[in-house]
Amino acid sequence: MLKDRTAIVGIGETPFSKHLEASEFQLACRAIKAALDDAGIPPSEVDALSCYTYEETPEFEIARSLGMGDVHYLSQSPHGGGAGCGAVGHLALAIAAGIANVGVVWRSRKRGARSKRLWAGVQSTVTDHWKWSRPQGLLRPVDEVAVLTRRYMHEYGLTRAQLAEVALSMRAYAQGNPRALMGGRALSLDEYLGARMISDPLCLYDNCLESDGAIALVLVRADRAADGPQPPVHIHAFSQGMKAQHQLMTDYHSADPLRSSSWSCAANLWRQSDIGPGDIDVAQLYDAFAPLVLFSLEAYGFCERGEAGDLAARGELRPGGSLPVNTSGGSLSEVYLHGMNLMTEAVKQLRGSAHTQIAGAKTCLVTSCDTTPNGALILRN
Amino acid sequence: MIENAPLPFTDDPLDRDFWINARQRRLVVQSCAACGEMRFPPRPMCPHCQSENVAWQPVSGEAAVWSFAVPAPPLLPAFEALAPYVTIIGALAENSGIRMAGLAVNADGDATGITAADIAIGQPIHIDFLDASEDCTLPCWRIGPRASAA
Repeated sequence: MLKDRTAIVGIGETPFSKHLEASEFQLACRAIKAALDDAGIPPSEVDALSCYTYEETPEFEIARSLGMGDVHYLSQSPHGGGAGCGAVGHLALAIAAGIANVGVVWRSRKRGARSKRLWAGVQSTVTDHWKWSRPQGLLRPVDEVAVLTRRYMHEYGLTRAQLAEVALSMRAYAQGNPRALMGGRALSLDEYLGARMISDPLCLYDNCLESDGAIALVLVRADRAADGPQPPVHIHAFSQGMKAQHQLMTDYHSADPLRSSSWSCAANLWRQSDIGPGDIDVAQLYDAFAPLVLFSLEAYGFCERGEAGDLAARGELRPGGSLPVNTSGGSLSEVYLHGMNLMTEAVKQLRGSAHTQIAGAKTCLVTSCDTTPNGALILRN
Repeated sequence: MIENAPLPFTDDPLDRDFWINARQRRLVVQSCAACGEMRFPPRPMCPHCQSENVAWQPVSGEAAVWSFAVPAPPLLPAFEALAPYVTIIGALAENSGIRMAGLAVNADGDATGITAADIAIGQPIHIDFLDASEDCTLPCWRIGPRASAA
């Protein structure tokens, strides 16, 4: 059993910026060292490593730079924004099963430079499933999500003013977070509605930031966590999700394309959990694109299908709302690191040390990307 | 960054027949030779009965707009030159569960100069073909029903 057997005891973050001088390798080492210092654990005790398949800093380089000893568990989780909760969940499973004792998960990424952007690497000949969408003009993830968003608007009547509330509420949270890249830059509904389209119906502010930084977490068994310098944040439940007939990002081919892989993840997550959607105090929902937050609210059971736009428009995602979401500013307004900042913000909320602290927060849902094979975690303190 | 539009590899045994037919301006859908179920995009095995036996079924090319996107610059140079353009996901008349992405083209077969105002979900469209290179013809969606069907 996984339930509450492991805990996150250390978090580490580099500065976040549009441009950092240091390499991804240097940033990864700094974030991991900071997380281990936070946990009060020396690098020599780390014996499990977990990251994203997209991570470009190899585990052997990380281990020999930080001075780790014998490592007994190595794992990677697939599909970029879909990977974060999987990377943490795999580590928790290995530690709960007794394969390893001290686990580190990390993500280091420099995406601020235009040359680093994923679509800039589109190949001239497409051999895989992208051959059915990229030559036809859906070049970037935002184009793929625009297709689903327009269909959702058609089926459920979501308006741009309702969708705007996702970006506006996260920008408001960023104003309380001195680390957020969009701190000091308030956003109004008029500015949102007047912004240039990136892929109609999605405008500039529906897109995450392009940024540089690294984040790491340290996990141990719950009995050891109780003795650490930080209040432990327990991993209560974990699942990954990939629905029948799912297709990565261009998920247009199943019987009900607006019922994403998040629905598969959610059902299996809640099945394992003593905590239900109504007991969640704060949520960190993957937000590379604003509509993914609305899709996830429905998939994880916070409202019925088609109602997430109303839920957001009522202000429920803001402080004092029924479900504060992405309280650091998220990927839209704090930093975009494939969702790892959502994980550290969850830990800060459950330690009681967040910049915009939700009073008495005891439970937090963290999710990965709605439109890829994905994952989710329920955390509690 | 590539200068030209990305093109599909058309000589994979999995989907070669789709592209051979497209070059002859015919739209075909991979179907299971054992149970008859259509599937798209192509894959090696029928998800319903696990048969590897495949038939390529000709379809009319009549369809309806399931959804669409209007990508705006900055884009790859080849698409930047095309903008404004629209990519439509079309649901086939014979089987609305078969949904294919294609560039929207106007009555002149032109993919450029098309905006969101020209297209609505549910609107009839029909298949057309753009010769993208010597060995690649891309199915695309012409706005409106086929003239003979109108």
